[in-house]
Amino acid sequence: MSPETHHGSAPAAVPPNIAEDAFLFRGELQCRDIISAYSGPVTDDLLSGFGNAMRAKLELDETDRRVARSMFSVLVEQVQNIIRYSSEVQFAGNDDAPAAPESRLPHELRFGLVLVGKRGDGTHFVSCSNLVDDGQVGQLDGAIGKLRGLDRKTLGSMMKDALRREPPEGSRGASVGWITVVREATGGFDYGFYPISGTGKTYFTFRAYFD
Amino acid sequence: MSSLKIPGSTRTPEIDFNFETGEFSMAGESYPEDVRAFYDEPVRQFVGWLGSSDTPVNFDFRLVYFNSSSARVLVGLIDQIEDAARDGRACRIRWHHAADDENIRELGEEFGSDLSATRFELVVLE
Repeated sequence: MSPETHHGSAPAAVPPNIAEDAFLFRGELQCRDIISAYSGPVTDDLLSGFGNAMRAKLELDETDRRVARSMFSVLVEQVQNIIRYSSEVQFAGNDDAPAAPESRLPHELRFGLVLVGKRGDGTHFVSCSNLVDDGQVGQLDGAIGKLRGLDRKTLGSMMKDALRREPPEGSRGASVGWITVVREATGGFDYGFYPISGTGKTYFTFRAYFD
Repeated sequence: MSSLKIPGSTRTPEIDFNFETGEFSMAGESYPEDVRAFYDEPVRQFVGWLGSSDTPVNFDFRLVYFNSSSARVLVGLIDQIEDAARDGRACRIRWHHAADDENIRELGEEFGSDLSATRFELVVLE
């Protein structure tokens, strides 16, 4: 079908060219320095596929291997955070009553947005976003904020101390995840919250930079 | 229970535990979907063996990547080995890292820094 082809007899509206639309969308991603983007339900298999494609791309670009390793590490921690904690979640069967909190992965899908990019100055970034409950914002903000400005050595010994402690209440993984991410983000990091009014949820984004 | 071998996969390391010789190795990448489902059994067998034998321990960590939940398991294993060493067991840990992988090297230095009874060696991978 040519772009000029009209559907039916309605004279006015030129049907949208879906290829043009997709090309513009792709251009929008490129304008934002994005190399890879994923939005939707996130699984561990998706993480491996996305991560290995990212590593292949970085290797073809002859990116410093130290940078590539740090990016992969941050990607894994952040994406596994989405898989375990995103408040945008779909349960198998009854929406209101997931069988038990412990019986997780096969019974639920959690959603998020994963972006990898390279800015004009050559620095890379990995950015992950997902919904959190409003009540989690303070705890997240505190956990990440207190790591700002700490040097690599300090973060390394904090990590070891955190590894020897039991995971905090309600955590399915290591609380040491944030320390790992901040330690690997050699170019610094940003994070932020955007409350979605009337839902009790807040959109959360963490972006790590690498240089 | 003379050996435990688990082939490596995309997100889990190759495990090679030899309970006859006391040679133990973990190699590859570690970011399992469910850390406990993967590690509970190997760790249980290793800890059981530590308590029921006096064979010297040679543990090789050859991981090229591990996530933070796997790190918790590694630190637990290292602590168990150190406890055995403090009880008089001959224990050696070799922590392998690529020559240009300062992150794995630094983590090894960090994890090895508290060990007094265990021989801890950093080894550059070929």
